[in-house]
Amino acid sequence: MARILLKNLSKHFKNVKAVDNINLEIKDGEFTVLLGPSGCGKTTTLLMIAGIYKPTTGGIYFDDQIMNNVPPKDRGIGMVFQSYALYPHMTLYDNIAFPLRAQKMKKDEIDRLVREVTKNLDIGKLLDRKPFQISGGQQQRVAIARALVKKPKILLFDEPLSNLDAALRSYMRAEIKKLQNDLGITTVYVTHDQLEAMTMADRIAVFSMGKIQQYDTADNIYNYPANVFVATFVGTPAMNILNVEVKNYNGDFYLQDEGFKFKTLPQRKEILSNLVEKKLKLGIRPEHIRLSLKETENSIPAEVYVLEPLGREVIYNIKIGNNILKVLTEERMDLKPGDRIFMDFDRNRYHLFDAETGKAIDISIR
Amino acid sequence: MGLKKSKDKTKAKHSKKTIISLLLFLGPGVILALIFFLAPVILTIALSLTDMDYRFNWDFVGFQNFIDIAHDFLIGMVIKNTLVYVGFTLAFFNIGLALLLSLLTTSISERSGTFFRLIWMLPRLTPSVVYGLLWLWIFDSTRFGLLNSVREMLFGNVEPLDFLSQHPMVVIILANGFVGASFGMILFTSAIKSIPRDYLYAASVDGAGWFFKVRKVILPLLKWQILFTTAYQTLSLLTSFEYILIITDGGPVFSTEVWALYTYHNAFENFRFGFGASLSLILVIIGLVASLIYLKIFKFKEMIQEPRIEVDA
Amino acid sequence: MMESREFKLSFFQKHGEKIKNTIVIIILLVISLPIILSYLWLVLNSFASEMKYGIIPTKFTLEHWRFLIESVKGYPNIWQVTLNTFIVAIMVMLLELFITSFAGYALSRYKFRGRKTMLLTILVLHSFPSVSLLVAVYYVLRTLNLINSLWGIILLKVALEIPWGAWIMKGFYDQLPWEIEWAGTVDGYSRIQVFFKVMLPLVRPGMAVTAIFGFLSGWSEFIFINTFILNQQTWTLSRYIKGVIGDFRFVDYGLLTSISLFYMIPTLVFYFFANKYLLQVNITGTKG
Repeated sequence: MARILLKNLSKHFKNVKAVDNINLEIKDGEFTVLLGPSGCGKTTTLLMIAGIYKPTTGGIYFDDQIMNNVPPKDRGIGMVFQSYALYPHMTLYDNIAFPLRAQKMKKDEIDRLVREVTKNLDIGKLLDRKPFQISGGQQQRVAIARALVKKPKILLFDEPLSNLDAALRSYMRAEIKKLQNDLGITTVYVTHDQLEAMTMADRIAVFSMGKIQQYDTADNIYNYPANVFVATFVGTPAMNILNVEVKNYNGDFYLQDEGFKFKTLPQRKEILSNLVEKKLKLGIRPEHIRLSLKETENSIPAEVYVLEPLGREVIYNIKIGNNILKVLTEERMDLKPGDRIFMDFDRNRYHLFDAETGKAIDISIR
Repeated sequence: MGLKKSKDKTKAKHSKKTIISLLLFLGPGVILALIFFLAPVILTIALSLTDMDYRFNWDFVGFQNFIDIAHDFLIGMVIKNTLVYVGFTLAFFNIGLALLLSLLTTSISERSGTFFRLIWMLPRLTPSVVYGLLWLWIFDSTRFGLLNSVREMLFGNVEPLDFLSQHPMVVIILANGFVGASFGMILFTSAIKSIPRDYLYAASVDGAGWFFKVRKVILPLLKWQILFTTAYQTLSLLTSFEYILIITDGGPVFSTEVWALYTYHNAFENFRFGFGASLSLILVIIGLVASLIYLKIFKFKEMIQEPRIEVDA
Repeated sequence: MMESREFKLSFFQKHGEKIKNTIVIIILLVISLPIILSYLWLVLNSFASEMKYGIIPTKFTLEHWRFLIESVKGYPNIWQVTLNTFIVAIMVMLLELFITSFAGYALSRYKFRGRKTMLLTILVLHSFPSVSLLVAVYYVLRTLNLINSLWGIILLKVALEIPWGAWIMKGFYDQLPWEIEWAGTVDGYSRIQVFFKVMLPLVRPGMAVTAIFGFLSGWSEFIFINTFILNQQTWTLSRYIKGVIGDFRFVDYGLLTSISLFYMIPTLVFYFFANKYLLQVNITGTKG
């Protein structure tokens, strides 16, 4: 098991900054997810941790030891690839034994270790087949077995579930999480699927354009996003974002936009008074919006735009001014597109961001 | 923080081990290329400025050889032959017939199409001497040749035609053309096959017949392949002479003597190495210039993908 | 309510597809006739003592194959010549296979300064008219004392074909997923070990293609033999046949066709058993 430290790490390809000066400290035994859209630098970072790419500047440390020039074979890592990367010309047994043979282990020792790791992954009976003869899910378990068989200090995953169907994905998410729990190996897991990240990670590093936007637990990222990118990337349906301005009407502070006027809690007066006339973005999660047919004190008039029934829940798309907001609720309301309704939202559960920098503004009530 | 510092070697591009590996992997090929490509090119230039003969005695003669070329009494005919040969073979066979073959064989069932394409690959696979023999038989001046046998079958007892002596250029063009067509045929066929079915279905739905589809959908999509084949085969035809050597050897009386063959004859039958080298040099220069132009036009640089691994050794 | 109408199809429309196909096949047959007939003749004539209309055999014989036992007058023993041809073919095949398997990998997977230049040079060399360098090559071979030696031919042939061969092999290596090579290095192997244990086995199809084409290319070689081999005992079958054509052309087509057919045996074997490779080799070396 090992700690990982990335210090001022950058990777440039010609004139593209794939990874731009990131810093990351991963604790021993922690399950860290690198999350982001494609092209954000998460896979490049993973490949540098593996040693397949060399950093342009900066350092990679395992347990305080600098690893920049150590080749992958000497880093004590196991890796599971998106396409599983099983060797097509070898049997599954040989695939799994491959890393052990590199260490010139004795035959019986190799056999014992291969049997041990495959037993727990339920692929023990398939070992004399070749990769093309088994299913995608089984191939993936073989890939995991191959990564684990050499008892690595660090385990790396590169979007391992993206080639599986939804049901299998859901199953494997839990299996991989349990596996990591039992073995306690420091794990770095790359994915673009925020659901995977939320359910599996101890901490998530959200990437965008080569930089780490936020590195925190899933809960904190969900409830206290550091900027607009993180706020909208994590959470489905995405957080609603509106452009607003703070207006002061007779000592009461309002967040205002076209067709939208929202009175804030008096406890926030001091914070908001510093923000008057600034361009802001207001973020509200779909599940924190309430709809009703009756007007209440702070409610805002809206028009139903379209419905998205999900079975258990419904997503209502409502129109306020030029904005379309998504509302997520389990409540069954008999609404059709075009109906006029009123929306209100939890006044303790919204977020404000600086419109220019995208950064979150701390509006917590002390 | 107790970070063990080590020399930041991230600047070093290649480790020693990588360099050794590269030398081993690429070395033999590079050495052979140097001996048989680079050295000969330099030598050709050098030799063309001498009057070396078969005894390898030589004197420096400057540009005399080139002046001799310009005044050579055969050079006019040689140039004319070369242009006729390259032009007709390229247009009618390497491009024309190739297009026809690829269009026809892709419009019928896969099995039949492949059957005919395989037939047309046979000339390319056949050793040149055997292939030459077959054309000699086709145009044989006795009644046993194919052409004369067919004439006998159709017209009864006729005087056998010595087609080869009377129209040697036609024979040359046919012989080279039948081989050359297979290059374009393969290229065009794979291009036609990779045209998304949807384009053709859409054209059918819009009411297009076969000819229309060919002209308006297929041919425009083959532009790159046609251009590439033209460029590539022009150079190839300019410098080829093997079949001509076997079938007519430049005759009768130099009527099929093309530039490349003229070079060969001068060097290896008349043993005028210096003169031969200067004739070669013209071809070499044309070849180099053409190759560089192709690279520019066909943007070969974009066909090369970067490696995605930076592990040493 | 729509009126129901009967669509009358003309004969042409009903059988349109079939008619088109028949016409196309007839056209193709006519165009291909010279090829079909001449190869037929090659086979038939070598076993026939009399032919009607030049192509239909009337009497069969094995006379023409006597050259296998008795040397043709004025010509070297056929088996010596065949052996020479075989040596050239095998050595060209082995050297090409060896050099291009390694060079192709380096060009495909190694990042190094000058990689782009080398790749472009290969393309230039390939489309380069190597035959125009014959005069200078003669000089080079003489300097290396390789005139009149099969090794001179072998090395020359290999040298001229490596650019193309390396490009083809590079194409095969290009198609191997990067993740497989990454996995190999993570699993504890140096890159060279990964090359031998993982990459090389996976380009076996490419090696087969290179081997076959290398062998056939060496087997069919003519012009270099014609130019650089002066000793009859060192001739290959191609030079032998050219000589025979010159002497026996109007006299004994039977002999010519039988020797030619003999010469074509490896070509025909490949042609009938492995022709699917033929249409697979992609000329531009990109995916596909």
